Amino acid sequence: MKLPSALLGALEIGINQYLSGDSEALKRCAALQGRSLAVHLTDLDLEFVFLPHANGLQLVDQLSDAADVRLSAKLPVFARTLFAGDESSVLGAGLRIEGDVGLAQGFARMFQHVDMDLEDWLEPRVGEMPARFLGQALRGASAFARRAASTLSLDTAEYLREESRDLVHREEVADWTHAVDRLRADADRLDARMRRLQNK
Amino acid sequence: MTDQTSQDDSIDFGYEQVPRGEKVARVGAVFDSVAGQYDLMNDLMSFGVHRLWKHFTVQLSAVRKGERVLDLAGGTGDLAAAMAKRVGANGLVVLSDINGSMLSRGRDRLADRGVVNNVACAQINAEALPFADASFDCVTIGFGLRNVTDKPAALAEMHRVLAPGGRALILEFSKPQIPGLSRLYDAYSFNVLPRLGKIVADDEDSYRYLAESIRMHPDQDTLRDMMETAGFARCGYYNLTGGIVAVHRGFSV
Repeated sequence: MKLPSALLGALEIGINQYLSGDSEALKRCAALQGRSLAVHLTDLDLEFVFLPHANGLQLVDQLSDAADVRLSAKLPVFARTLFAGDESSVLGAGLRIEGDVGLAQGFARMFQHVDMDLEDWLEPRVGEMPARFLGQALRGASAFARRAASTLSLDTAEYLREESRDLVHREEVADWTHAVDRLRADADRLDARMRRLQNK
Repeated sequence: MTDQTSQDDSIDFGYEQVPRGEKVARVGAVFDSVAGQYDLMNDLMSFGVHRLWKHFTVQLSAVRKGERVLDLAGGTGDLAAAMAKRVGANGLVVLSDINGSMLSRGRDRLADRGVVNNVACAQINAEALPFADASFDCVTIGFGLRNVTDKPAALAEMHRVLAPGGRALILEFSKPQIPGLSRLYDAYSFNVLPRLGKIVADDEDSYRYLAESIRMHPDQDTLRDMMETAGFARCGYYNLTGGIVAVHRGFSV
């Protein structure tokens, strides 16, 4: 399936606006100039190609030659990989990678390290004061969401350990692992001693 | 659908064939006539959608602060004004047009909007640009290429003045891609537009020329091929409003 050209253009515009908020991201784009990365969304049967340049990324629906690297996965897997905050995740996130793996990591790094100044981006669009207000509100909402997610994660873990007893404490696991290791070592020593006695 | 080759004596002026040297004067007369009502007619003819087409073009250019932009056939300066905002105080936008009436109106409109510090105006022919090689980061031409006599020459000049990495954007009427839209579009173009021109600008013929010149303009694929022939790389186009308008883009590498 191909995206309509206007939609492809709109997608490119959106991505470039996101990248343009961080001059370092554009430098990383420029460093990748001349390379190409094809993305195949298997669940939508949709493919497009990213071509980096100094001002961002160009999106095309096909290239005359094969792209330097081609990634295939479902859309949620791509989203998770790009915004996971860990460039090494590109290798282990269930993506099928054909071609230059280092280049795929370079692209992932470009997206993951974008440090967008939201207020700077909003200011020419809505004015200085609304931009500051919106920026603070979004930062507050983001911090709240992070705290809420962290609290939910801790509470869920505590419930599974203390109430339902489906999970055990990390210390209990460590003690059990140590006990297994000690038992294995003791068995090995006993085995060695038995062999020595049999040989006498 | 295409121009005559450079060797031929005649060229299209709408559906009419005129001597090659005459087209500039005839097109000039059309724009001298419509300059006063140009913006109003654009809004009426496109129901205001031309603003979205121009916005899309400017966004697609990905022009950044400090860059240099040449706007050819800039008319009343819509693209130039938007570009001036993007390039900032350290950038430069050259608003140009071959027609003095249109350029004068564009310069006045930019001044009225307070866009003056980073904009220069130049009355120039797109087929022979008076700029050094690699002078600009971006060249745009909005609804102007179809009026150019020698389109391959204009495209070659656009490519010449672009620095490596620079891009050219051509916003122009094109061939509708949605089945059934062509018939509706033709009915509108040849019946409504000239009457609208008669009522608003008291000039029916100029708006008939507009409709005819759109039909004679190269379609999407032909124009993309022409850009590649002119030396542009990574050429592509984006159909807007069902292909009534297309934005072509090519890079200088």
